[in-house]
Amino acid sequence: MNEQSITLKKKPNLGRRIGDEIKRNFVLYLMAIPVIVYFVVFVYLPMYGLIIAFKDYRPFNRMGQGGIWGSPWADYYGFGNFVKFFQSPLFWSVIKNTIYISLLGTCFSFPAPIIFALMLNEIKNLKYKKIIQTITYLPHFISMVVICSMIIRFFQTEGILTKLITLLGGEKQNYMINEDAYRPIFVGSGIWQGVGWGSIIYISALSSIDQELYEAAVIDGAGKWKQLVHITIPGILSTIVILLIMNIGSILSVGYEKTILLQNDKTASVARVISSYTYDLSFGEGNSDFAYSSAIGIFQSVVNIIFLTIANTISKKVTDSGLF
Amino acid sequence: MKKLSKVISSLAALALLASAFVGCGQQGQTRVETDGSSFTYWVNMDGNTKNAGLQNNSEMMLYKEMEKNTGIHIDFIHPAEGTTGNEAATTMFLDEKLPDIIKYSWDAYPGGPQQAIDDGVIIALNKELDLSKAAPEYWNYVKDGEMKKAVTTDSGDYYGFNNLNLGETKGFAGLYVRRDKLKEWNMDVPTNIDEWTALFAKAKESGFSKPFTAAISDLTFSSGGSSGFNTAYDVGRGFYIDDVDGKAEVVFAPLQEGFSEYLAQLAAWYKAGYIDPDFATVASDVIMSNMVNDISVASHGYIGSAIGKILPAALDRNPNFDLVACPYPTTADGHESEFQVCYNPATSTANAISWQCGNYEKAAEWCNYVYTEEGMVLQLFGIEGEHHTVEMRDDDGDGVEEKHYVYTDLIAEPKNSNCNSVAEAMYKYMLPCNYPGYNQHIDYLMGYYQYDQQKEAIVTWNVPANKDGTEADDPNATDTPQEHQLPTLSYTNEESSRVLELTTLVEADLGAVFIDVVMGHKSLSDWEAAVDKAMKDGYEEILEIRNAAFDRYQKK
Amino acid sequence: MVYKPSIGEKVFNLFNILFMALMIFICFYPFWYCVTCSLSKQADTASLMLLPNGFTLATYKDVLAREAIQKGYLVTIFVVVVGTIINLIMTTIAAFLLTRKNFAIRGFLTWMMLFTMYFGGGMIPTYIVYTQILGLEGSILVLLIPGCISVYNMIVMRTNFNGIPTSLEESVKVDGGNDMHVLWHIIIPLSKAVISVMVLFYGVGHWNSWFNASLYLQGTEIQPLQLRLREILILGQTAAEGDAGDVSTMAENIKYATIIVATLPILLVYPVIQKYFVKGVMIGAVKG
Repeated sequence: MNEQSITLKKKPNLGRRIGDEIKRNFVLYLMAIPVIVYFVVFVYLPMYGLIIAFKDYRPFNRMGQGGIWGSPWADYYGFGNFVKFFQSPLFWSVIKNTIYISLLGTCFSFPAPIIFALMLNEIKNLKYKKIIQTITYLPHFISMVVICSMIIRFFQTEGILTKLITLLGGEKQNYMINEDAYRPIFVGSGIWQGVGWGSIIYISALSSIDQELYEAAVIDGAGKWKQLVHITIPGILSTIVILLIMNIGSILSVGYEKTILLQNDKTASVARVISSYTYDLSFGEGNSDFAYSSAIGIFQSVVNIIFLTIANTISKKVTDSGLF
Repeated sequence: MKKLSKVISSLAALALLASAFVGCGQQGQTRVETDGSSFTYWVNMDGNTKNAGLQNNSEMMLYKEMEKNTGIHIDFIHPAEGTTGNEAATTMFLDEKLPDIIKYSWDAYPGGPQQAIDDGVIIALNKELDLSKAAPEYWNYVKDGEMKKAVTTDSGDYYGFNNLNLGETKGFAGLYVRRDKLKEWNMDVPTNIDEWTALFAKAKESGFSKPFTAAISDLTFSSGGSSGFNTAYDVGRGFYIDDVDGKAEVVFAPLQEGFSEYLAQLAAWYKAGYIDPDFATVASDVIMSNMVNDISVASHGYIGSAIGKILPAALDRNPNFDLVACPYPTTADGHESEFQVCYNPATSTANAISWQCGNYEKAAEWCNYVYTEEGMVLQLFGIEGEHHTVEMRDDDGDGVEEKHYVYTDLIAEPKNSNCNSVAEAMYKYMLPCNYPGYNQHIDYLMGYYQYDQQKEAIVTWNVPANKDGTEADDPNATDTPQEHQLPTLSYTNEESSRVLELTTLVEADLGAVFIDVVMGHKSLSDWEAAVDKAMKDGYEEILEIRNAAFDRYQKK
Repeated sequence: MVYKPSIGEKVFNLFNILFMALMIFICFYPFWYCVTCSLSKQADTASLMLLPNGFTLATYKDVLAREAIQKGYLVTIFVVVVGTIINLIMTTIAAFLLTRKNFAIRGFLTWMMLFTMYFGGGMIPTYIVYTQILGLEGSILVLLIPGCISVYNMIVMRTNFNGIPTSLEESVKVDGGNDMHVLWHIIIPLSKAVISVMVLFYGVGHWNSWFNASLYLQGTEIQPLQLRLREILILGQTAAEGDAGDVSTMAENIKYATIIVATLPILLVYPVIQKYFVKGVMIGAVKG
């Protein structure tokens, strides 16, 4: 790449260079047209809606006032909605809760499908393996409402998992109103619901590892552990790294649906995350404050992008692969 | 290479930016006069109607007959039901051509119905029409009194043809208990706290591990109105209307006398093991299961979704299973409950006429039809001889026979209509409830509810009529459930988002303390301290906002 | 040479088999719960429901007999098939473009797409653009085109493409082939596994989607299955205090039968595509 740019720099004429580039990559430009058109028309055109976050939004009015264009700019040079969020007494609490849950996710939910895929890879019986794959991905298809009502029942005083906990020496209580139990339940049930589905990408990546490498390793007398460390993991490393970067790049995005369904007054102080806070403000009584919730959304995205960039930079230094 | 890609990038970025501004479209402002022989009507299709196999409301008997009787043709536009139910409406309001008639819950319009009028979406009926001539029957119901307050905006505009809860029955939920067990234990239906305590003790002794099971929302401080045991302490829940120095005002339950005693009673019951230890998280299906499986002896719920669901499930296993609705508990000194959940006179769900509608008079005439005697019967009971028969009965025992409508077997035996339930059979032909027109008609309810226990509950949970019996009551009177009930108030945009923000801030924390006190983890003085804090942090301001809205309401 | 597993490996294998058996059990449970509820005469949804509570198939007869469900199936199957094909074409092209090292606008394209992972215009502006500028209201295109490139999926695909040795491309280029040939003759044949994952991801996505249909296809005949499912499920939850005051008493078993009817077909996709996860695809290509 660098060598090329040095050679290109010697050519003086910009127009000609563009011409050359287009000529050389003509097929690629042709292929890029539908992609660019799609993004511009379907995704970027509506993006003027982002302006709403900087406005003191008044509902749309058929006389032409209000709405996204007609509303006045917010205070603080348009940043009033952001300031309102930063000054909200719940700001630090929701940020803390969101990051906490996200980090737990990165530590436990993220590796779970990888470990599962690796373990599944060691199952020799093909039929058994296919059955496991097909069954473990089922919970992904059960609606969140059904899943969460199950979780709540299981952790109530007489619930089956509470019984298991008591059997292991824990206290008999309703764990759904226990602040300390909320996060483990949230993350643990997420793994239960998502591990099979999440492992599909890794199973597919595992299948494209060159089998000759294993044959060679066996001849060299390498045990299973060595094969794992030297062949299998490096074989899916780029997938893991990319997905990890994207995971870190969504640090402030914890979905609201499950939070809303699992939380109650007792756990709200640890359960409340940015998205559920926005949801509470948008869909409670009466109407919603579109401007405020989209300002929160933009804040979320900006922080996410910062984390994405940091993770990407580190990854490029360490593993030489990255998103961009 | 790098520079080149930069040039191309910035060019493309510029193109994106420019294209983004194309989205600045102006809305259509045209309105064309028509002869009013045909209108478009934006209305959700009822789930029961769909389940009965209809594809469009135009196939419904009600609308075929209405077209015959009014001479007005309707083209239906049915929105899909989304998660919050509002997306379809939000986008409909953006469309260049509005439907002529819009059925919507206008409180959900950003800024309320007044804003919808100001935005030019719908018309103020009283400004464009002489309602007494264009819709005399509707006008007759809403021209004054509480009904007028309930269907007008703060500035006194009529925004549509509302769901009017005209039926004499106003209650719909309350406490219920196993009647078969009461008989077995030789006990009467409990009417006050002492009798309830005795019942719970007996139940616990007889092997019911959680004598009383109910969801937190039916117990805690924040839900509106009343649900049960609080009535014994002469206190409501949430925000309600009460007498403050001779004037009706919005008050907040936790600040009222009696609330702490109510909470103390719950805690005492919890300690004795009478209340479901999972009350903080219990879901409706678990409550149902507790009742069916002899784990609980009493609960709180609705006539249809609780009693109507528990009975069939339980009778399947135990033919002796029986439930009875209990009256709201009286106070210690024996006076009847003033607090009870009940319907407001009207809801904000209404057929409104859009600004673009081509003929306001004709549209009003069509909307008015269901408020006429003929239209009411057609919408609620269908055609005589086919869907209902008329009976003369004296139900209230005053010696005078009243006209009653009884559904025929086409409805009462849903199989005859190829339907799975009475509700489906009803909504296959007509729209007896939840649509603009006459709601909560007693004959409809008697036909809708299958079990005698439910029919009894309608009577037991009915709200006593205003004591002086007049509609134009003293606006400051607060001694009946209806007068205590917080009416549907309208808030400005700023007010409602402020209320939401403050509620999010303080509600859960106070709720957590409530749970802790019931469970015995915290004391009543902790509760009082928490209430003080919550007041300072938010509820004081919420109360102010609500009172301001209530003042505007009273002044209508 | 015969490979002899060590004792540690044997212990691990035993543990692994048992662990997987446990996984089967706990992951099958929620699905099984829905099945037993749907087959019950009176579903006690609060209990474990390991077995149906009284057996009936009438719920399924009832659900499948509904015209709305039958029509919903047709719409959904059409959208899944056609939509997924469009997704695959567009995503493959986008991912491929981002693997071309000497393509001047590669960086721009990457950021253009990544940006959309985080920012969007929101419902109302999107609605205005789609209806007033693009005129998509009432057209089935609204279920096919928006979201035709999921940036996340595109990145997964690109990662996979990047793993294909460039030496293979050179051979095509030497033979005078252009980038199109590289994509068609090298990349795609070697990416069956990831493509089948994409089929699964996009297919499931289309199968489960309902939101756009609820906004843009109001009042049309084009009503996908999931929209019907939502309506049936929501019907049981519309208890509005003080308004309706009461809810429909829809039987739980019908609800769960609807869930099963609306989920089962898409569950069968995975077993079908699993055969593309076969090991050693690359070897054949290299040797051949």
